[in-house]
Amino acid sequence: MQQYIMRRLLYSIPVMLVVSLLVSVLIRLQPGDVVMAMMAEAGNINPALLDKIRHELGLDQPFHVQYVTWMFNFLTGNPGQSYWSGKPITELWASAIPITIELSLLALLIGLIVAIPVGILTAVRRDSWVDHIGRLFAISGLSMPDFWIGTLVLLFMGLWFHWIPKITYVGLFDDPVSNLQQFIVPAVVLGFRLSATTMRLTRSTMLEVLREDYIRTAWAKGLQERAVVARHALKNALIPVITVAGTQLRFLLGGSLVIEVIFGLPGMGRLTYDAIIQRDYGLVQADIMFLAFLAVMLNLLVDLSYGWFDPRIRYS
Amino acid sequence: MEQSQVALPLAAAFKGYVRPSPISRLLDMARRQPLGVVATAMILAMMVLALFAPTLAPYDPIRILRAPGGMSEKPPFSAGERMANQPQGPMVVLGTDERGRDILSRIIWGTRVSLTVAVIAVVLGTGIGALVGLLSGFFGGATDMISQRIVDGLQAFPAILLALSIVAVLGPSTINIFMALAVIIWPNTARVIRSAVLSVKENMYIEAARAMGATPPRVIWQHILPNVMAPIIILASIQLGNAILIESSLSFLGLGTPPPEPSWGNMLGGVGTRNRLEGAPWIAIFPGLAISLAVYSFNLLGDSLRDVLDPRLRGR
Repeated sequence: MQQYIMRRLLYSIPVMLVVSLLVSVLIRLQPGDVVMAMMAEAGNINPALLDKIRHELGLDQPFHVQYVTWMFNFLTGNPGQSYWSGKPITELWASAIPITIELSLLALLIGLIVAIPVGILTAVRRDSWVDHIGRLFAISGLSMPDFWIGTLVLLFMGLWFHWIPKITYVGLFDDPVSNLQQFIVPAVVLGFRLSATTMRLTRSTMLEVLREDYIRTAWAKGLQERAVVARHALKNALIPVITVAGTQLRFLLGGSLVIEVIFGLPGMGRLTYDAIIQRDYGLVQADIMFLAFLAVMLNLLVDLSYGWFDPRIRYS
Repeated sequence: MEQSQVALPLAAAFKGYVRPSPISRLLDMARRQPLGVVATAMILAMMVLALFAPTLAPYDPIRILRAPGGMSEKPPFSAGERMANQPQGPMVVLGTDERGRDILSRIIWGTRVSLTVAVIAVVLGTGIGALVGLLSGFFGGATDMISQRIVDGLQAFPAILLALSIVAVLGPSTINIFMALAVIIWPNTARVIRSAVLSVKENMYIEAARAMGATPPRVIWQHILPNVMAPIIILASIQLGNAILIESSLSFLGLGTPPPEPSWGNMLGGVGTRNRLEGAPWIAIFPGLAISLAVYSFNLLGDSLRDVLDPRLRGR
């Protein structure tokens, strides 16, 4: 088991290197100069100021120097400053990350609570009307763009319930009720798509498990349906589902961007989006790196948990 | 003697056997995969809309319609454009948007954008991914290690974020959108193809071919590629739906198809539009419906193809 963990950990390192290189190269692919783009956004280009700022930001160094310096700073906890506002990025992150985490966790919870029972039910009652409705739900969740669902929900919440998203964010610990009110609608929208994929997967793994011989034995023994499903089938069917739920977290990181923008939640996704629009490349670079690293870490955790759940993996 | 003893009864058994015509084979497939037929029909309808947009659309999609009192935010089934000394224009079936442009025409023209972007991006992405997957799976070793790290690195990014960053850096033009989408699509394809290649490689006929002196390119082209076509095709059809979703998300966020050219995404987007929605919800409903139907039909097609081509993957 330890070997497995070590192997997975070591494997992640080159991946993160690749990620960091990709991000750095991407930012520098900008036609023209980063600083010039920023000044053009601001409205006036002052050549003397350009060189000064370039030097300040270290942009006149060759690429490999910039890359190494930046990576070193990033890894030692100093991702730099936002070009736009001048604030240290860690400060921006400190306020944005909890929001995204809360949104993602709520969405994951809601998604799983809906998806797993529906998945089980549609598998057990295969080809009944329950099955058809469940599958319709899943397919629509996969096909409908999340920004459309978000926009429509916002629209109809406003029209029918006169509900508008609050402008200012209220912390979870300051005022739980108000906070949950603010988060519940975006979390449901985000969780909807997640629940569609998870429901399909639960259904298919459940179907496979229900075909196994030991399930047939259980039926033959005369066990009630509830016992067969809950005691024998469920655990084995859920293993792939749990691993997929883990990988869905990565999707949540991306999906939260659109939802945060639509519902006005100042999380990491919104921060990155604003940074991209404002051409704030220092922040963009740090944000993307952070989110990608987070995704790699999550994948690692999922792989490790897979090894823990399924003993066959551990000893391979 | 023996031959005729076997041959005559056999011939009698097969008497009256007529090779099924292509039409009857098609009908047979239709009966077994009704959803696939529906999906194909919907896709063909979209292609017709896209090809014949200038003839089918009642109005020019970027023209602001004129009538006494203005034509902005007119509900569905309103009277058409009315200019002085001209006969009344065709009915505005789906209403007009906040600027006064006919929504139906914009949706029809938007089909062009969505389909073109999706097809080109998927062809590019699948091509690159298949190439990388084939080479990586076949040759193994260093090629495999390096390309797998790159694939994992790219897959670590949340898709929308990566697309957003690429388009933001390079500028929102249609070519950049293709490229961004292709970058998102190819890693997943490479992964799937690689594992398919790995399993095909184990077969005896590959070993036989090598033993007969076949060069690697010949083995790949002649023996491996035909046997991995199934996952390539299935993946491609699902990625088409995905590509439409991502392109419309980008357009929604303002970094996709540049206005005024209508894309289903940018018909929904922009804060300005969102603020006016309460008085005119049809502006949001129809473009999103178009996206959902398009993505849904590609997903359905992918599912059907999967059932036909590879039953082992069923239910994923």
